[in-house]
Amino acid sequence: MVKVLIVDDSEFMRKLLRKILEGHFTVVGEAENGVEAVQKFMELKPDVVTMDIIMPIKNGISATAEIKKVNPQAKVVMCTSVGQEEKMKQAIKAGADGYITKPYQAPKVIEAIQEVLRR
Amino acid sequence: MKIDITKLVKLNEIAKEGSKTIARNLSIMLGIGVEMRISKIDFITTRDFPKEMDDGICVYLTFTGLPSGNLLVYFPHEGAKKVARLLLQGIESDSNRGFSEIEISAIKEIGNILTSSFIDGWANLLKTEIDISTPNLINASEIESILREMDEYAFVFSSHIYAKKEDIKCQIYVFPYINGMIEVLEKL
Ligand SMILES: [Mg+2]
Repeated sequence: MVKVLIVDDSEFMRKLLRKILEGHFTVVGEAENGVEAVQKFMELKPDVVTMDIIMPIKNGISATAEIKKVNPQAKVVMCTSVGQEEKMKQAIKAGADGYITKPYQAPKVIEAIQEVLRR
Repeated sequence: MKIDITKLVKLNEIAKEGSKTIARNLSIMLGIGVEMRISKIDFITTRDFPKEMDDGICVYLTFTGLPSGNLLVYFPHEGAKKVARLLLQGIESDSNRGFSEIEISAIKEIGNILTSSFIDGWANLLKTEIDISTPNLINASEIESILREMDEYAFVFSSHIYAKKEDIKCQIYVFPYINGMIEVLEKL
């Protein structure tokens, strides 16, 4: 099954996303900031990373850029709040492959990840 | 400075749009109907800000850019408990009257999601970038000290949101700093 790494500084959002993804994908790990995300990406080699944008220590945009430097084939799906257009532009520049919007709606989340995997 | 009334009207429309988005997002997260009750802009002296918010909790965030400012999302205690319970359905079981760590995390994140849609509405319209801090949870009694740090006079954007089925009330207050707000009005 497809392996997913969940990155979000909010414990609640990580649990919520885990609940949505389980059954469709294998959640291989969680990270709560950008530094941990890069470490766990290298360690766990997930097929997809779901990446929150606003996090302490290192934000999701910098972490995405680093992950893409390590592995340009890596798939990163940004988790944004509705309307964060400016942030999304930066994320795309950093190499993001897709996005899901908060608040999460389960079918849309699954669809967005599958879409990224098809590419 | 003279304020152009048509610009205030426009600002009010943006605020109203933002408030509607807040209600919509809260409805998605809680899985129940949520309506926007009040959306308004006031010009206040900060020490006169209503003091009725004593028993409750508040998500406090700051934003920087054009404009910069402070943001509060207030829930009365019982409402906050209900919100946490609804958010955590199927994730974690309920604790007692106090708030567990995961409940705190859930309430913080709801504050985060609700307010970023509001702030980003401005950023998109003004084509500027506004950064929002990570959310902090404070007791309503701490609001006063935050207000004391602010300018004597302030614009405040208020949205009152209500979920009838569960009798959940939520109040959102956005305090942009005056200087930035003047620049925003000029750009509109
Ligand atoms: Mg975050």
